[in-house]
Amino acid sequence: MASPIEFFSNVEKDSWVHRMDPRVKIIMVVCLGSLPLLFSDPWYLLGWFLFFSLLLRSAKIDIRPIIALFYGALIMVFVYIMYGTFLAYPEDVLALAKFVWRWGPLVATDIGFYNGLILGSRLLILLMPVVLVIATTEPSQLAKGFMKMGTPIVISFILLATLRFLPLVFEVATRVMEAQRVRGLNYKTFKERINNFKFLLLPLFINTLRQSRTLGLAVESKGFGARKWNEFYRDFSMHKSDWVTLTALALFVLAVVYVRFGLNLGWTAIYRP
Amino acid sequence: MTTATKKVGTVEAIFTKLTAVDLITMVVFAALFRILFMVYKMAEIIFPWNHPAWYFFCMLCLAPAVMIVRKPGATFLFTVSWLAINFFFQGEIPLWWIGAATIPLIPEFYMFMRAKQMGGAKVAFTNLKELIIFGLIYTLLAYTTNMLLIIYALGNPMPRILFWPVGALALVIGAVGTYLGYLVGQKISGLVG
Repeated sequence: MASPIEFFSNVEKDSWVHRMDPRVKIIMVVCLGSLPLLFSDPWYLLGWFLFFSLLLRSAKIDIRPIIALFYGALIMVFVYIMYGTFLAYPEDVLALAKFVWRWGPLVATDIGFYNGLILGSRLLILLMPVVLVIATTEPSQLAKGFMKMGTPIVISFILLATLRFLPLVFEVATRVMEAQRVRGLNYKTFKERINNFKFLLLPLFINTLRQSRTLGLAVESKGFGARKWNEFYRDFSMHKSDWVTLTALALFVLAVVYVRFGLNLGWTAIYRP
Repeated sequence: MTTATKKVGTVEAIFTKLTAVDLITMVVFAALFRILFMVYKMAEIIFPWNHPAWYFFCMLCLAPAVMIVRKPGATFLFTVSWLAINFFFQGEIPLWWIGAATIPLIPEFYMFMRAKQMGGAKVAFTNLKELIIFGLIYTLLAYTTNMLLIIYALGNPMPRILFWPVGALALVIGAVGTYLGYLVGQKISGLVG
């Protein structure tokens, strides 16, 4: 059975992002994954969303096979909205609210809803540049990028293994749950999910470990222990287009920082109790 | 003829002891932690009540992982793995890595000292009492850094009044997770070898 998220379904396509050097992609994701946090104005956040959507589109990324990643983020957005809406604000804040709904100890306000929406949408936006990179890069290329940037081989190997094994574990978990369903276990109600959880644990742990440790032995037999994997079968180097992208990125970062702090735009007060 | 030997630093020496099988084991346990937490989340229990469960699953997976690998540096790599998963599949802020990567340092140091006193890492990492203390330290530090991220970096409007009860609950649940993880570790270390 296939994994519910096909993480690498877009890797084989060809676009300007696919052709980019992995090191540039890593720098890009660090910059673009941090900058939206400087903003809280909904219009600016909408701007970031549209900008990232354009980037995803220009990279020819088909979002359908990886849509489950966004569902996870949407759950977090929902939690933030609920939390913000029903937060126990003091009376002076409630006096500013145009809409107040009370039910026992719960008080919902439009200010709270607005706050929750802003905070939650920032989470969703942060996911987009990461999707841009993982959907367009082979995990091994990304690991090589980290190694070329001076990351120790152990950490690079861990990053590579993470990208490879999460889908594998996901697949094994789905397979075990499906096998249990066939044998009459249900995961429909909340109680069933909690009760049947214990039956999932051991088969999942043992199956995944058996599969992955075999691969570990294969890697070890190819001389990983010497920590001298410095040559690459498919090497890459920075091209002119990569330098152009890096320069454009640096200018973009400077421009964003200037807009936020030089012009003091893009920030509305987020109420914090 | 003399043979040139490569000198390695103390930190590098710790990681040199870890084989590819050890690294993959830690990654797999970190992946299991994230997947189990995801399955639990499907039960639709939301923040803050889902938050202590994070520590339960973390310790449920970390305890058997260190019981199987039984080497210094393993906890650090487990942490790097789940941070990488959070980053690649959740878009978590890369700058936060610097803070979160310090979580395993004190638990690692504690186990390192205990291993020295007890006569070996294998003894320390399979001792239930040591694992529980190790789990409590890890939970406490993870809770602190998680709260710093959730409240200050992401701006979650969590009422401050919940900070202490949720933290206390996280510690208790983290300890339960460590205990169950110990039982799982005992079972699977025999099967996996």
